[in-house]
Amino acid sequence: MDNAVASGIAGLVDLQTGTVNRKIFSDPEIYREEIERIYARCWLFLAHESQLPATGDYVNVYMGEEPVLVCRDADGSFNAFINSCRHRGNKVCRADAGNAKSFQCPYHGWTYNVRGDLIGLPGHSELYRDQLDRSRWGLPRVAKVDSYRGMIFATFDPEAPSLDEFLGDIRWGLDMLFDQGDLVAVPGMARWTMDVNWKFASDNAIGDMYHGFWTHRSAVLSGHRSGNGQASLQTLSPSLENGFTMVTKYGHGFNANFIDKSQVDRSSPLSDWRFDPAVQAKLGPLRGKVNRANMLIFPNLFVNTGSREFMLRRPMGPAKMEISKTILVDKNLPADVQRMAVRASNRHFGPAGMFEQDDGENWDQSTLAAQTAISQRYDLNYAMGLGFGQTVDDGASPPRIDTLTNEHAQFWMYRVWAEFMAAGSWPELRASAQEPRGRM
Amino acid sequence: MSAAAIDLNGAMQLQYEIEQFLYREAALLDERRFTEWLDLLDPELEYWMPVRSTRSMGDEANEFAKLGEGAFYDDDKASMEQRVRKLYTGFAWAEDPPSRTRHNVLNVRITDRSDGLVTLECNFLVVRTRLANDNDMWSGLRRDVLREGAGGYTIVKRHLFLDHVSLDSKNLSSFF
Repeated sequence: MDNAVASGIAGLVDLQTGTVNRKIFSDPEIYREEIERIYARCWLFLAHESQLPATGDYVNVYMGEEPVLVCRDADGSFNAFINSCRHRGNKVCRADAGNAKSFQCPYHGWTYNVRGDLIGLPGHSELYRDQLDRSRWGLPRVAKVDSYRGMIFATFDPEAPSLDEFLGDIRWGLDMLFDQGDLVAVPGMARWTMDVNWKFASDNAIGDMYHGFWTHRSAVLSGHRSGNGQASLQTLSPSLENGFTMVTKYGHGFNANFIDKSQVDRSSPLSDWRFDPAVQAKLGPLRGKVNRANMLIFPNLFVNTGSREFMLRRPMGPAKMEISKTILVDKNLPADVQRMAVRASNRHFGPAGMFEQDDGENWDQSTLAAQTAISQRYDLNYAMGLGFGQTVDDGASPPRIDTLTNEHAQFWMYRVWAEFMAAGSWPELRASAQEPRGRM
Repeated sequence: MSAAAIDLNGAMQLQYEIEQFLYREAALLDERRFTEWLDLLDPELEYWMPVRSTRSMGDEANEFAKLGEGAFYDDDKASMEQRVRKLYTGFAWAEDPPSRTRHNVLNVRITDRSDGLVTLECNFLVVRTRLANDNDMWSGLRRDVLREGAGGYTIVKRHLFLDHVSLDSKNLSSFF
């Protein structure tokens, strides 16, 4: 696709009116371009380092649509390569996780080490006459691998900026999670698929405080709590005040609501971190007041600082995605308190989660409604608060907007989506990408 | 009558009682009589459905997550009461309009009876349809511990081992 066509796609997000054309949630050609222009470029989350503690440990994950093996090397570094044999393309490893010294393709036996190098193939001398240059036929490696706070990321694009530059100010948000304790991944990943365009899940992650009081009303009314020491969940009406919104370059962002510490359930050890002076010193005054934040690492990682999860939503087509959920727990807590934390997360998020079961129902419906020709004439409205969001840059945080319920972050995600779709390369994108400034 | 025959009669009677209990329970769920179903859950209930992953041969011990790790259901009586309360709030979108379910309890094997507790294994096959076009099927192994009481059996433990790794379902808003 040439850049003029890509610019036309980007035009489906109307920056003046805050509206988005439904085609971007259903059109197969737009979806293919997203894979090229977003998933083939961005740094994408792979795993948490605690999931691969020993040499030879591996996890089978996805970067966008691509199956990727992540392996811990003897020197402690992480290798990531596409899990597809160079001979006929089969997966060389079909288990989700484990420990291995090498990977052997089940079709003809081509064998690769944990760095992805081709180290052997049946009949190399006799059948290939020693003519196959094994150094050229290793598993395709990602361009770069790097970590932030134990989160392993990789990109397929050698022109991508550093991970630090890509994450930019959202690191301040990730620190808000990782400064709560010594967090490690809990074994056991819930996985489920749904007929949903990945962007509906992402725009929910980056900042949809509007849906909580309504989508999750039944959970709130039933007395469910989300863990992390909250005495109760959010109120039954959406509030403009009492929290803030942050968006950053390259499409990341979050909403964070404040907690009234007099309302914290002090009988629950899950609230202890809120009163730990060492933790509070790291968080500082603004983050120290935060109840929980829902965060998006663009394009498709939901990070929840409340019950503490990563939820990766991998695209499987314009109207299908798989969610995989990883729970984080503070490894320094007593075993029974860790158990409480995991239980709270299990009950909150996941396909049976008191909250998440209703999300699945709603995103499915949004996606269905984006697929029909006549409905596609009617754009979706992401304009709540448009023009009223004043960014504040007072040094207390990266630039933020001091309101809680708005669609600034959601529409910001579509603005950045359009930047990615219009740009032909990372150098173009770095030149065109906007910073949040002024009124939004 | 031989001793073996007497044991067989006792075993058949217990098998009959247990199966009838399990079938009645399944019918309560299919008929959406959730409040009555709650009465069958013991105050000590441990209701657990661990997540699963694909593992290589030799690594089967890590297939299912363990108690205290990732789970689809990790519940007790109080949280099951919350789940039922949720359904009747008028805002439970995942179940309003309600799903249609068919709970099949199969291959019931009683493995132990002691101290007023009956331990059993069975297969489950739950079919759900939802709205016009949603179709889900969940199968697996179930391990139950039932308490024998004056008013009948109550469910003390229900461990559900799904046959699925990644569920092809937008949500799991049904009971098992």
